[in-house]
Amino acid sequence: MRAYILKRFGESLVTVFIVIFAVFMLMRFMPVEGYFTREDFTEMTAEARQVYLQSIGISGNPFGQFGRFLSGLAVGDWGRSITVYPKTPIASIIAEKAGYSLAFGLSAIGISIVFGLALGIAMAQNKDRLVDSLGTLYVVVVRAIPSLIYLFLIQIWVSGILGWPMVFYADVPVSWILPTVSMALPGIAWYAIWLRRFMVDEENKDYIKFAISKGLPRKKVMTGHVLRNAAVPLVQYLPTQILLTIAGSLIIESMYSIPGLGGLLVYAIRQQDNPLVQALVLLFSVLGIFGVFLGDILMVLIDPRIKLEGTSRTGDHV
Amino acid sequence: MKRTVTALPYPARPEDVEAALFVPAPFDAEESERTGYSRYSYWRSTVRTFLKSRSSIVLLVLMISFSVFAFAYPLVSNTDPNEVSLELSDWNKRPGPGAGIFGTDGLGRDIWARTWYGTRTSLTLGLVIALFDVGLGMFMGALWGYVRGIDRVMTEIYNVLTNIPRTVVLVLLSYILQPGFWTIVIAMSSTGWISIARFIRNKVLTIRDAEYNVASRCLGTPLSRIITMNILPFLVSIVIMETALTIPYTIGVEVFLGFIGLGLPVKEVSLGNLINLGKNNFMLYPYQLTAPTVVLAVVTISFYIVGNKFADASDPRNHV
Amino acid sequence: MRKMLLIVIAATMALPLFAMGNQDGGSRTVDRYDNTYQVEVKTLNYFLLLDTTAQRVAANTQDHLVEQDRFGRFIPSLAESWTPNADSTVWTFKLRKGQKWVDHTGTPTTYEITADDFVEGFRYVSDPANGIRNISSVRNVIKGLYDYYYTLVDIDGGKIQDKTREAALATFGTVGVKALDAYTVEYTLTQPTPFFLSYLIMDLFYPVEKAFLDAVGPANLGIAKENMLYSGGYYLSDWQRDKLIVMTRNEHNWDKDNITVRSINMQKVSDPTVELQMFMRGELSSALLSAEQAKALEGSPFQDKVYMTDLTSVTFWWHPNYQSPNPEFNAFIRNENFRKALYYGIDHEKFLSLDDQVNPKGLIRSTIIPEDQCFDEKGRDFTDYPGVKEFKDRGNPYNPAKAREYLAKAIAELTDGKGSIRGVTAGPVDMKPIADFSVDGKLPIQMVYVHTTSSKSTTEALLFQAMMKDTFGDDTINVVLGQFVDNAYREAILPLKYDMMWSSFRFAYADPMAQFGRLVTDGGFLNMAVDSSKKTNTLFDKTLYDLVQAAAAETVLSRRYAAFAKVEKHIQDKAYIMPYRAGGGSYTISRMVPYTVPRGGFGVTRFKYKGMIVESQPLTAARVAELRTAFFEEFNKLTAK
Repeated sequence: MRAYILKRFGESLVTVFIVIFAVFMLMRFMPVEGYFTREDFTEMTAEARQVYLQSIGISGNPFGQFGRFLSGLAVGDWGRSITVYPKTPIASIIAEKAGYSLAFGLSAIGISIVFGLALGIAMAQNKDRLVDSLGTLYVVVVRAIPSLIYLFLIQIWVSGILGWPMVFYADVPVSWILPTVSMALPGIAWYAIWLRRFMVDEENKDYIKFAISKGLPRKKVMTGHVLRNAAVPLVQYLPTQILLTIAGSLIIESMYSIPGLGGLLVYAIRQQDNPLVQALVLLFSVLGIFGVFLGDILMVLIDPRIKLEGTSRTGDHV
Repeated sequence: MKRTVTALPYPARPEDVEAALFVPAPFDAEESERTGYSRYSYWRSTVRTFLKSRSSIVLLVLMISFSVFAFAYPLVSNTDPNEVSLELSDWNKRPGPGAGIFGTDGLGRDIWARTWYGTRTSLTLGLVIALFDVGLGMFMGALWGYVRGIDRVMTEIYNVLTNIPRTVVLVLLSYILQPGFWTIVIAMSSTGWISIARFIRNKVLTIRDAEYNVASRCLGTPLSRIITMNILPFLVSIVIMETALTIPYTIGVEVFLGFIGLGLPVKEVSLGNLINLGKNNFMLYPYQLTAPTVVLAVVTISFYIVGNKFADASDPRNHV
Repeated sequence: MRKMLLIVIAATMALPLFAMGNQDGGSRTVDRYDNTYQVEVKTLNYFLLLDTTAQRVAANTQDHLVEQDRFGRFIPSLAESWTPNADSTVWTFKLRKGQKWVDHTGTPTTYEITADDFVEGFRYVSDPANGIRNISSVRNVIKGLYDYYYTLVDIDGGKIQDKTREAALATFGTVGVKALDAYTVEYTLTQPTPFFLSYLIMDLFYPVEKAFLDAVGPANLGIAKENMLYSGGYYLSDWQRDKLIVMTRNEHNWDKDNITVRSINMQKVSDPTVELQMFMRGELSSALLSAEQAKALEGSPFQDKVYMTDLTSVTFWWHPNYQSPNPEFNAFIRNENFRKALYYGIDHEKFLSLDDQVNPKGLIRSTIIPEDQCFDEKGRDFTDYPGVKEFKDRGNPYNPAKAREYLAKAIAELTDGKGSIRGVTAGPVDMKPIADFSVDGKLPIQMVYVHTTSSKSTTEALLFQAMMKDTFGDDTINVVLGQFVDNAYREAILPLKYDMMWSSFRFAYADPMAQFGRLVTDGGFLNMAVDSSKKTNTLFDKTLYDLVQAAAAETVLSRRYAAFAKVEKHIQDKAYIMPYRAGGGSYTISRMVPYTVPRGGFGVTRFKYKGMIVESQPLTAARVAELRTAFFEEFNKLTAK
């Protein structure tokens, strides 16, 4: 077990390294004018511009710059933002914003699991009846129509009908509901459709037929066998999902004025704030890769059918 | 001991019985085929299963008619979707006589025409991306499955590509290149192919070692026949499904890019541009958002459901 | 479970009822002002105001030596009194005693606001290492500053090797800003400057407490509410990035009785649709509306409450690129007839219909220097000087026949008569990622108009394109649309990736030099031209440059204005830039009573909330019109004196 964990950990580190290096190199393709303000540019001589570019790590030997970035990280220095929030330490920006994204994201995951699984069970038990059709309609709408449209309509209409605030206020709990629910909508659809399919498939399997014919109550078969088996693949993705809530939701955070991390990465790229972009990509990829790692280990722990030799990162889960 | 082996009506001795029963038969390709043959045809069954559901038929008809109309409309109509009116009275006209079926937008452009031109652009975008994704994905996936040596490398590529947020790739590329049709194609395909490749790779592994293929090989079926009869139909169904599902997804991505200001340029009419413009005026002129949204919803939903239904129908387990 | 749910829903439904409960019939005064901002501030360093949000915060949380009242007159602020010397080259200010800096909790610190704080503030902005952009507007005004500043620049750039940075910093005494005693500040200027007070309300002239600045570190000033001390009528009580900025009344300010509103709440809301909805639901005190939003309110209960704000000193102008990488446009824009064709070919009124469909004419400003801002010693407005007045009276210059005539002349001068532009070779143009196209060296002339991806800006671009086509036809000029995402300066102007665009320019201080200086002198847009054949920089227009230098040297206002009037006429005659719109003039709906706040065209005055009255109900347009009439009666009485 320990050897397996160590090996997987090593592999994860390599992946993280490649991801941040790739993004680091891509940022080099951005136009250099982006790093100046208008007055800077006109006031600086060509040499001064070059000195400035070197100092923020844009020109010069990319490997040297990358090395400096890594060694900074090693001593806990995330650097400072240069254009988005000039001179502000990146660690403090992330600390200030991550909480909002986490709080909304985790509540949304909670809601999507509870409601998604409930809807999935309801749909499976009423297969081909009204509940099932309505559920399917919901899933199709949420997954096929661009989210921007229905999220916008929810913000304008639902808040109007219920008389709730249109944007998030930290001190008005009612204003937390719409963004959280909006964030949970795709998750509910995902869990519902997945559980429905799983249950319908599973019901035709021999061991379930056997259990039922043996006289076990349906309910018990469902909770004791079907749902339990259903939990296995769910558990695998949960760590990644939970860890990545910190990345926030761009559209919803921007609509409801939630000061989370959602739009920050895109905004940082647009403002060519390289240190901030690198820090965020690093953070998100570490969490994402670490999540997969955790998920695999959890799988091994809870599913007796999986043996260590058989687990590979590209296993047959699709 | 002399034996006659021919034309003995009755076995005379036990040894003769055995000899007569176990004469090795000469290999006959036709005969061997017949043993594994049933009236089952993959395609016919797929189509039959698909058409069993009435809603699939309705949506298929909708999907085809909307697509055909989107591609035919620009050919038959002479309304210029980019025609700006300098008459203030032409701006923001509500739907009705003299203002087109969907009315006009803030510069007097005909929303009906723009919706269909936009649908065409979005469909083309989706098709091109699907083509790239599936083409590259299938090729690389097959390679990945068959050549064991590249497994480690491909796995690493997979890990990297799935861990760079897609928005980052989209935004970076839109800056480095120029926001436009091909930028979106490149950005989407550069990461999109990998999930298809992995899917194919897993399928290649399972199909290759699947019992029915092992059996075919034992029966001496040539490889080309295994590929065309057993593997290819399966892959073609993946292609169709992926294409159908990529279209709603691409439309969503394009709307999102418009939202963050990196959508297609103004001169290209697209659903994303229409939605984002309509959204800004929603409280004032709701039809500018709702009208294109209805068309968009029909397109995305029909593609989505048809894609899924087809995926179900193409699964041989559902062929009963 | 269901009961719980019902209770929750009932409770939440009741919430807005409480809010509504207060709004009975008549309007009353409230002491809270809620408004929004669209883009997060980069920094709240009050010496470095990069956007209007930062200006709003600085204007209210810091005081200057002087400020303007609601009629625009200069009145004492942190300085109790001041005296210029006979020729207005030395200005002495006497400070109020006993004023304390307060922190972000509103508690007075042990630091007193003294003359030294103004000197230290200026020391901070004079050091190029602190990156204070606006310094160029006073570099030639304060004595000794030019040399001090450029010595430091040269040391940083490696051009001066024999002097250390520390040694250069030690010479700050040569700069004309001094504390004569704890309560007396003296400014020494390079030349007589009767309008010097209008400089003092810029961000460059704020005080800073040296001990505190050293404690937080100069780089950290303004990156968090804890990293600043406050000298103004408000202190920054809360700042959450991308969420809100809250300013609370400073109960220890010298003028606290005139700080009428107790708290200013600014929220980040990026969608104008949401902003209007929030106003309608009582969550905001005021909202700006687009022309379309205003129109859509017709027939709603808010119909009679929409009014238009007064024009400001900000001016919008068409801004051609004289160093365009597009050889076709580059060839033509240097031709006076072509520029005149553009000047007469753009229908400003139609273009402004996007902002106001009822009276777009009312938004037009056809002079570079705004009216009602610069008055000579006899009270005569700069825009009434001969040479400027003709343009002020012209209004919309649109005249398609004339435009086509000028274009025909330009084409005759620059082409071989068969549609080939002389000296232009076919090839691709490097304007990526803004635009991607190639030129063929033939008519039509390719012209890249750049705009942001916002829907308003896109609409403008499309209208501009259609207007040009309407005036000139598409066989002579072809407008190519190019888009940038966020920042015009970074993405288009700096890398010179544009042919035409509009820009808006605020009027920094009460002198025509505020605009002409930024245009024509060092680093200005009409300062240098690249001679593409020799790849060298030459003066853009020597006559113009000399005119500005001569005007800047004049110290008697009437003579100065007469000289600057020649500058304005020269620029307009040559159609180098084309002013077309005044700032302000947007539809609004508000619970704030207009004309209660300080009035002024420059510095941070127009962002001050001192004296503001906010009511519980939106004002009707009729009442605003009455208030406006009453205000201008009083105002005219005062200025007539």
